[in-house]
Amino acid sequence: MSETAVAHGHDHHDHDHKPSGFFRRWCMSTNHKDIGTLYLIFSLTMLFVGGAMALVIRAELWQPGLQFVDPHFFNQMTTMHALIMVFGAVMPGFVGFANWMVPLMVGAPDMALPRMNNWSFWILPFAFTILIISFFVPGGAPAAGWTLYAPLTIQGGMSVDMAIVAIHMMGISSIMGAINIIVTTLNMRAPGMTLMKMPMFVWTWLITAFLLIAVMPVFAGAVTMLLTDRHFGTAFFNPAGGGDPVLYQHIFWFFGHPEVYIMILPAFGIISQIIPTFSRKPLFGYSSMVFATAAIAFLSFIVWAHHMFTVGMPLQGELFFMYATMLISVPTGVKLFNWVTTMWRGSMTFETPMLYAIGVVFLFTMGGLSGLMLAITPADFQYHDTYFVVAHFHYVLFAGAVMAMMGGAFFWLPKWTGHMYNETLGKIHFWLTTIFFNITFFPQHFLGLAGMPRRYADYPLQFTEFNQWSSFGAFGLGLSQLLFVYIVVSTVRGGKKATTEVWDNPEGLEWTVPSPAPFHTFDQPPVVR
Amino acid sequence: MVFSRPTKLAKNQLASKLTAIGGAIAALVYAGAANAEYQLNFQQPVTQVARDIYGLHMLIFWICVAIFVLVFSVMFYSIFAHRKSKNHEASQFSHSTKVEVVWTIIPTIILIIMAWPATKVLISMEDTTKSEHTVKITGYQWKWGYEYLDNDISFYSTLATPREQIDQFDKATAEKQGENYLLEVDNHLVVPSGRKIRALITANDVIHAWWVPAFGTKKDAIPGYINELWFNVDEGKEGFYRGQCAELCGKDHAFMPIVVQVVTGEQFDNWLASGGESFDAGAIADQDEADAATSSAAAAVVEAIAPAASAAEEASAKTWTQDELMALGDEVYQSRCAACHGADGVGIPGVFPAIAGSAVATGDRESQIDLIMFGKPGTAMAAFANQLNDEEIASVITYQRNAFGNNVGDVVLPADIKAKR
Repeated sequence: MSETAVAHGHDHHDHDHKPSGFFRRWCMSTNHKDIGTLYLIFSLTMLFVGGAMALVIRAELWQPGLQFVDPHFFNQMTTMHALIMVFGAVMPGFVGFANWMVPLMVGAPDMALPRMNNWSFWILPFAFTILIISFFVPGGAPAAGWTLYAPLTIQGGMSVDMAIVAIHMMGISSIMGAINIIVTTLNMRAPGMTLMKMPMFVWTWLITAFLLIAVMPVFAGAVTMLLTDRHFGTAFFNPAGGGDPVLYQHIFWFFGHPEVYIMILPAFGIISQIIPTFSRKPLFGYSSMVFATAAIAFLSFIVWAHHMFTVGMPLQGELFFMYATMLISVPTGVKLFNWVTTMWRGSMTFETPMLYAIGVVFLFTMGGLSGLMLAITPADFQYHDTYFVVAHFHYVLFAGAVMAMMGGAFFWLPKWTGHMYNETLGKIHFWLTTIFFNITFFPQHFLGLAGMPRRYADYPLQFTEFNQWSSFGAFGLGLSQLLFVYIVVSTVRGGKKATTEVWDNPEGLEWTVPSPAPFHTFDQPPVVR
Repeated sequence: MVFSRPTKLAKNQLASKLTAIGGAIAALVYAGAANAEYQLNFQQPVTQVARDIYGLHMLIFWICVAIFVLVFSVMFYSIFAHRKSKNHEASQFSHSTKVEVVWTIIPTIILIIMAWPATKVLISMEDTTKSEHTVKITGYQWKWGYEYLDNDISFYSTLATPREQIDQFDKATAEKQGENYLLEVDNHLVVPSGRKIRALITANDVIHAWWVPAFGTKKDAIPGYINELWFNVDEGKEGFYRGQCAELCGKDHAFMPIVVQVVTGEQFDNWLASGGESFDAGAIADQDEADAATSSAAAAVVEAIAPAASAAEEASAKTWTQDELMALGDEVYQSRCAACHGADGVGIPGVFPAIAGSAVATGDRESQIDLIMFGKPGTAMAAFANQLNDEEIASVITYQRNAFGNNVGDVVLPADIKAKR
C-alpha cells in the first residue's frame, strides 16, 4: 500500500473520535492539537494581561510627575508585566506551536507522553492564578523587578512567596514540556527522517528543550534560596547574615541568559520555515543553521555575567564575559546571512507570514546589533539599566519572539482551522504592529543614551518628548492587537476553504495532511525519502 | 574615530545622520524637534574616560550601521528584484561552504577590531590607583550618604524637589515642575577638577547604583561589598553634574538623584579647610542660582557652612516645648518618613506599616526610640541615629506619638536621644 493510499483510506473512515463534552474534550485532553490550541489561547490571553500592564506603565510615563499610580504600584506593574510576558505569553506560546507542529512535522501521531502533556499545560492556569491574585494580598504584587534581585525581594511582602510558588509551578510545566518534545523528536520521527532532515523548527525546539531542562532547575534553586532567606533563617543573599547579594545575580543570570535564547530560538525556527516557503527555494545552508543554533545554545551558558557588568567584577571576569558575548554575534550572523541568502534569487511573494518573517529579520537584527553594543563592557557601563536596554530587549523579544509567533500563526492558521484568514486584514495588522512598535521602542534608545534609567515611575523634564512618542506608540500597538484577535476568531469561524498544501508547493509533512488537520494524523507513519 | 572628541557640532552631525538612517520614524521625530528637546546621544562627557567611552560607543555604532546597511541593501534589493510578480524564477541552490566560511571569518575579524580598543578603555577604567581624594558613597533607601574619608566630612543627600511638584494626581494642589525636577538634592557632593577622585561605593539596605553620565561612571552600591570607581573631571569643566540611581531599589528608586558640584582645586581645598561639620539644608539656599554662576557659587557654599555648624550647637542647649517638637517633627516626618509611611501616616499595608494607630507609635516609648535610631534589619526601616540629629529624632518620635489620631500625650526630648547614643 502506497503512502497516499494510506492517507486516503484514513480519510474515509475518519470520524475524528473527538471526546464528547467540553470538560472531556479540553480539560482531559491528551491530544497534541487540542493541547496546542490551549497553550496558544493561554499565551494570547496573557499577552493581553501583560500588555494592559504595559499600558499602565506608559500612561504614567506620558508626563513627568505622578498622574495615575504611585511608584510602588508602578514597580508592581513593571515586575508583573515582565513575569507575565516571559513566562505566560512567550514561553507557553512557543510550547503551543511545538505541540501543534512538532508531531505533524516529524510524522508522529501525537506527542510521546500525552498525559504528561495535559498535565504540563494545566499547571499553568493555576500558576498564573496564584501569581495574579498576589495583587490582592497586603502590599500588592511583587515589585522588585522580574529578576527578583535579593536583597530587595527579602524586603517584599507575601506576594514574593506567591511568585516563588508560581515560578516553581511554571518551571515544572516547562521541564515536562521540554521532556515531551525531546522524547517525541528523538523517538517518534517517521521512517527515513534522519536528524539532519528534520525541519528547522523542530531542530530549534529540540535545542531549546535541552536549554530548558538545563536552566529551569537553576532558577528554581535561586528562588528556593530566596524563600529560605525570607522565612527559614538562612542568609544566602542577606549580607547582614554573611550572605552575598551578588551570588543571587550570578545564579539568576546563569538561568536568565539561556532563558532569553529559549525565547528566541523557536522564533528562529518559525522564520526558517516561512522564508523558504514564500521564496520558493530551499533554506540556504541548512546544516550550518543547525550548527549555528547549537553554537548559540552553547555560548548562552558562558555569557551570563554581561547582565551584571556594574556589580564590580574583577577586570579578568569583565574581559572574559565581554569576549564571550561578542562571540555570539558570529553564529547569529550566520543565521541572518542564511535567511537573506535564502531570499536571494528566489521567487518571492509577500503574504502576511512572509511580511512578518521579513519584519522579524529586519527588527531582530537591530536588537542584535544594539546587543553587540551592550556587549562592549566600557560602553555598557553607560547603557546598563537605562532605556537603551529596554529598547534592546523589546527589539529582540517583541519584534523577535512575539512577531515571529504572529507570523507563525498566520502561516499555520489555515492548517489549524481549515480556513484562509483575511489577507488584507492580516497585512494591515502587520503594518500597524510594525509601525507602532517602532514608534514605541525606537525613541527609547535615545532616552537611554541621554541618561534615563529604567524602572522609573517618574523622570526629569528633558525626557518628556521621547516618552510621549513611546506612550503614543504603545497605545497604538496595544489596540492593534485587537485586530489580531478579530482575524483569528473570524478565521476559526469561517472563511475560504484552505487546501491541503495551503501555500504554493510548501515543504514539510504538515502540508500532506488535510486542512484542517484531522484530530488524529499519521496513524500510519509516512515515509520520508 | 571622527567622533572621539564630541563637540556640539559632532552631536548635530550625529543627529542629522541618525535622522537619515532612522527612516520614517526618525523623520517624524525630527519634524517635531523644532520646538522640543530631543537629545539623541550621550551627555557631553567631561572626563577622559567618558570621552573614551563616547568614542568607543560611536565606533561600534558606525560599524553596526555599516553592517546593517550592507545586509539590508542586499535583502531589499532581493525583495524588489526577485519577486514572483516580476516573474523571477526561483533558483534552487541551497548551500555553499565557501560563503559560509567567509561570513564566519569576516565578522570575527570585525569583532577583534572592536574588542581591542574596548579592552584598553576597560583596563584604564578599572585602575583606581594614584587617586588624590577618596570619597565613600553609601546608598540608602532612598538617599545617598557621602563621606570624605581623609577629612572627617560626611553628610546625606536627599531629593530636594518638593512633593507638590511630583504629585500631579490632583491638578489643584500640583505645582509646576522646576528646571532641575528630580535632579536636585539638599546636600550635594563637592569634588575638585583636575584631580583623580576615587569613590568607594556600598549600600546599607538593598542594591543601588551610583551613576553620573557625564563622568562615564556607573557602579552598583551593594550591601556587604565595597566597590570602587574613579573619575577625574577636566579642568575648566567646573559646574554641576547630575545623575540618578540606576538599580531598582524599591518604591522611591526614581527619587534619589545624584548631584556633583565640580569646583577648582583651590576652591575645594578651602572648602575642606572650612568644612568639618555636615551641611545644613539651608547652606545651599538656592541651587538654581548656584547653577547659573558655577565657580563663584562654590565660594558662596564654603562661606555658608560655618554659620550652619554653630547653629546646631545652639539647638541642643535650648528647652523644647511640645508645640515646637510637633512643628519640627512634622517637617522631619514629611521629608524623611512620608515616602514610605505616607503623608497621612497610613503606610502601604503589607509593605510599609502605618504609623496611625500602630502598636509601636502608641506603645512603649523606649522601643520606638530604639527602632528609629537603630532600624529594623531585613526591612526597609533604616537606622536614623546617624542620619538625623538629636532634636530631629526626638521631635519626629514626639510627632508620631501625637499625630494621625495617635494620642499618647508624652514627649521625647533631645536629651533622651543623646543618652542612647
